[in-house]
Amino acid sequence: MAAADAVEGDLKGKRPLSGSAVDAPDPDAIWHRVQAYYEAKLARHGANPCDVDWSCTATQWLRFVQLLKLCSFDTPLSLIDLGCGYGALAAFLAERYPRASVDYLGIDLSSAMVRRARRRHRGNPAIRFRIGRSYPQQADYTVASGIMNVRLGCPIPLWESLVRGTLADMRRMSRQGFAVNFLAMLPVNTPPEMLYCPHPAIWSRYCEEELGCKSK
Amino acid sequence: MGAYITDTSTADVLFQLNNRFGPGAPLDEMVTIQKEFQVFSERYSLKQAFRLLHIVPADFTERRFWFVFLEALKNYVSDQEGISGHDRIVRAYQENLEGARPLPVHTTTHRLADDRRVMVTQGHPIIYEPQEYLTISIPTKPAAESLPRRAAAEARRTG
Repeated sequence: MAAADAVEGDLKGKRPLSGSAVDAPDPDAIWHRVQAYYEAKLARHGANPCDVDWSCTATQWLRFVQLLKLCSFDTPLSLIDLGCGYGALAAFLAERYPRASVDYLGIDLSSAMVRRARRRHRGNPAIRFRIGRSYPQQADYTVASGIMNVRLGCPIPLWESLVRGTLADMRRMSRQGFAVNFLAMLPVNTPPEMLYCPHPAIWSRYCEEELGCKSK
Repeated sequence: MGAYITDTSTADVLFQLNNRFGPGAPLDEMVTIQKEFQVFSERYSLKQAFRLLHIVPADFTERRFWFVFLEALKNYVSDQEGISGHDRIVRAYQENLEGARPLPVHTTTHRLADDRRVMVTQGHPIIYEPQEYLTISIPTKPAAESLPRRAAAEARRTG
């Protein structure tokens, strides 16, 4: 599943990573940059799909539909949403599967995003959010929508090492399965160094050969 | 559109519409969106559909007028007897996107003075392209003729 045309104009004027983030392969510096990027967008657009680089609500939902094909909603399940942003997937779940019993945990690097998400889903004990990148416990499924796309000038080998690590973590923390998407093609007028557009087959093969998964 | 939104916003939304429903990947995505969510159907008004698709003027003030215009299309006539301009557009999108051979959609305008109807046709509106399109044409009064009235209405509204 690929998230084509997911990134809009804001990257055009963005400078690639410079200084310590490129010279020293420090993942924390890269994650910090990604966090700052999304927090700036949140401040500019508010909590809506454009804030997280989708062209509209419908295209964002379309990716959720694809990612959630992994899950069986017939029985109660637990789900981790990695890079949950302002909690759009949790809202989509309630809308699309109103009778499903889902224990949802959203994780995001950005404390501003998580604050918005908590405010949005206040009062629902089955929906929780956590700041950071670590998983407190295993879940039946883990999904991540669009988190591999925005590399902000991070060199590809380094970005790919982060993708490998993220996929391995998702594998380790998922009892039933995990789903991610990648950008299929670079949007028009977007500097290529800002985004990561691999052939998805590369990562399907990685998941099968290195992580022992059956990929779809 | 000129009576409701500025020329700049008209150009802006026409550009977005023609991009989002353009040939190839954009049209494919719209077909999938329609299949999943029935964005164009009796369930949603055009205002709701375009809000969901984020086809709106970049200017926030103009967005309100854009939504007023989309609602006003319910009072427009169309090239189908008894069908409003609004419903004609919704059905045109729905039938096209759900059809066996969906066409890219070209949205344009014509002078209200020439024809008051919302028109939906099929053909080759872009002369340098062999691509066939579904064309939606909306009767429009030039903004220069209409904006003074809008400004007066706005002034009355705000007191």
